[in-house]
Amino acid sequence: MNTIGKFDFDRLSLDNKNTLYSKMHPLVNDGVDTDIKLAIPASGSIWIDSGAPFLHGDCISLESVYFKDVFDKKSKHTHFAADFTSDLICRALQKVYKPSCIVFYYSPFLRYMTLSECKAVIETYKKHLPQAKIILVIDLKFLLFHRIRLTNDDAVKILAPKKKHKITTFQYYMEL
Amino acid sequence: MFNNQELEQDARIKEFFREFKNDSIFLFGDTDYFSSYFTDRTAPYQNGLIVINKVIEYKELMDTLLELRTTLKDADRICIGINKFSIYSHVSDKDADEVYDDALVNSVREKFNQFNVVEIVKDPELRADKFNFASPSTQIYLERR
Repeated sequence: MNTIGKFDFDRLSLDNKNTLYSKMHPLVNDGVDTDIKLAIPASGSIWIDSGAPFLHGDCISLESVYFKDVFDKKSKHTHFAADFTSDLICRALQKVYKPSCIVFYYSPFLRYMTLSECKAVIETYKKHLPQAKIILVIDLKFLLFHRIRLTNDDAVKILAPKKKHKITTFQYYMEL
Repeated sequence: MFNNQELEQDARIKEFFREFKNDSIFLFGDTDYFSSYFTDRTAPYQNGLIVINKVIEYKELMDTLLELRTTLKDADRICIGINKFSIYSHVSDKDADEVYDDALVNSVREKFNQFNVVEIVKDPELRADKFNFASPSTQIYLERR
């Protein structure tokens, strides 16, 4: 098993950071998947760890602090955090923007979570931003779950979406 | 290789076959990295290396392993590496072991029950704080009884 404990971001060149970021965030190079009809309300959406500033320069987004150099420094609506799952972050987003929608578009920070951990993240956002619709576009391939005892549809049921659309074998669009 | 370093999982496979690297081997799946390490690919095979690193349905995986068991009927040692994240199922199997890694290993062992299991490598604690572009494989090392 090759697993390197942590990236040394300080030693990673900007070129490598750009490459890494774009590989982890399909929105950067591919835009929104044509199989998805993103039902995003016109007013106030916040994109979490999704690479959205590369798609819409003026959108509100929360990105990883480790990739700060990758983004346009002039952008007023791109914010950075080390932890996307904290109550503090959610409360701050609510206080400043009171968004009508939160979008997680293949957000890498959800990778290697269990289904219950992933659901807990969603619940945290729902708790602190109760008016916001949550849109989750996710590749289940990167979640930890029992793939023999559960089908992918079983896994989606555990996340309890109000609405879902299967994009590919592992990729799903959900509204929660 | 990553950043000019050999991946641990690849080094482990080479070590397992080191004494037998000049013997005939059957390579299946994501094994390009090993193509120059082994020299003889002619049947009958004494060794087998199977690396499943693509999206595959669980039953299809089991059927594939059954076919490979036939191909490797003369083999003395086999390494099977499976990217556990690439597997999905059309139907749920509630009889499978409650721990996914164990269920996967058990199902492979059943298919190769004429072999002793020499080593099993799995990482049930894989988390996002690790770097995982290296396709984490569950590895099962087998030697004929």
